Amino acid sequence: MDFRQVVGRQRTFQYFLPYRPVERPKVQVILEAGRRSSRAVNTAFSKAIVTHRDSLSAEEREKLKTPLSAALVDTAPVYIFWYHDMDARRVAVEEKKWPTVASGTLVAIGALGPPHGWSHRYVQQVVLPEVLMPGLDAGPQRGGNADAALAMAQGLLAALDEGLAACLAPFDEAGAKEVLRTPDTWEPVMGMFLGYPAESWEAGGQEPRPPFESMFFEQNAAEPFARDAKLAQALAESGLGGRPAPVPWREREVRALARMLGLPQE
Amino acid sequence: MTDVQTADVRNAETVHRWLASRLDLWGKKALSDDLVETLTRFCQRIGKCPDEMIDDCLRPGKERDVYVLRTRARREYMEQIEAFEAETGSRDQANIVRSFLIHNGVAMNPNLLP
Repeated sequence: MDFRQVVGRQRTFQYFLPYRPVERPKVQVILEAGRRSSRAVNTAFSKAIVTHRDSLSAEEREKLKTPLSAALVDTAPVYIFWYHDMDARRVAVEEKKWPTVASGTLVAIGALGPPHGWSHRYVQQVVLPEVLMPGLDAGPQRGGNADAALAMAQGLLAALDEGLAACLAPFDEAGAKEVLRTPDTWEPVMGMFLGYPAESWEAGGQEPRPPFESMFFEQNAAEPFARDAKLAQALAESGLGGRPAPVPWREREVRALARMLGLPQE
Repeated sequence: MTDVQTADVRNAETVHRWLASRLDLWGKKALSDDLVETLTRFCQRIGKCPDEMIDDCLRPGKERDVYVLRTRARREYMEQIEAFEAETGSRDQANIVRSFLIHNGVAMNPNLLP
């Protein structure tokens, strides 16, 4: 798919065809895309566990549910639980196991170099002691991680590009820990529920967003980025955008979906 | 089975909220007589009034109009509704009870898988 169409297809899909499986290669594409995402000091903060609904017992599924994700757990054939590995920085610094900044690999392969001030000595004697090591004594720290979320975001776009529908939703951390046997150092980012949509690709229409100028600025925070309306229109026509919600048939669509799946209609 | 009357159910504050919310979202077609009748049968089955059911599931928070979901109570009601569904043989009737809880702020779905 064209990149703009992939971005424009993003919706919070909430109704999946429970009987249509997700092909394994598509799941791998999602993970490969996540693996390519940008991350600070080339450290793998992101971890993910692919979970197949039909391989779980009813009790295990119950443990993953939150009050609002129950139907997603029941209908999506595949879930990917995305995590932030709070121990990733320590492992990078102390074990120097992976090709990270701390291991010196990025300087060695020329990804980071003298034009930007990088050298082996700078990494080993300045960056490590001054930037990467402080705070490690305090142990893993919760609070989210942008790089872990970036990997998930890239995986999300890959899912849409593969023709899948996806919904990001929180999951029960304690229940997931029991079912997925995650280490104590993994902090949940979000659950990605995957499948083929039971609803239309419009999924009710484009959800409203705050005005562009209230979100984006130029030069300083007081100066909204001047939006070119013609460009915005052209982008919408090329697929990055869509009909605003609600589409005229949404109410009937939701009723029909609820009836099909056995969910409360009203 | 206990002595919960249809009139008690119809006059309950939580039932007013439920019906008003359905009316607001879906219009008059979302209101029918069997809603209150079905909820009454469920209330009689478990021996609780509608307001009691919601009070069981939502604990008042520190601030006014803020509530905390009581997960154990919610789970118990989900099981009661499943039993009601099995007894009546009707997902639709059970979903009416679920709708009552949902519109009063207690999110829930039926199990969709065996």
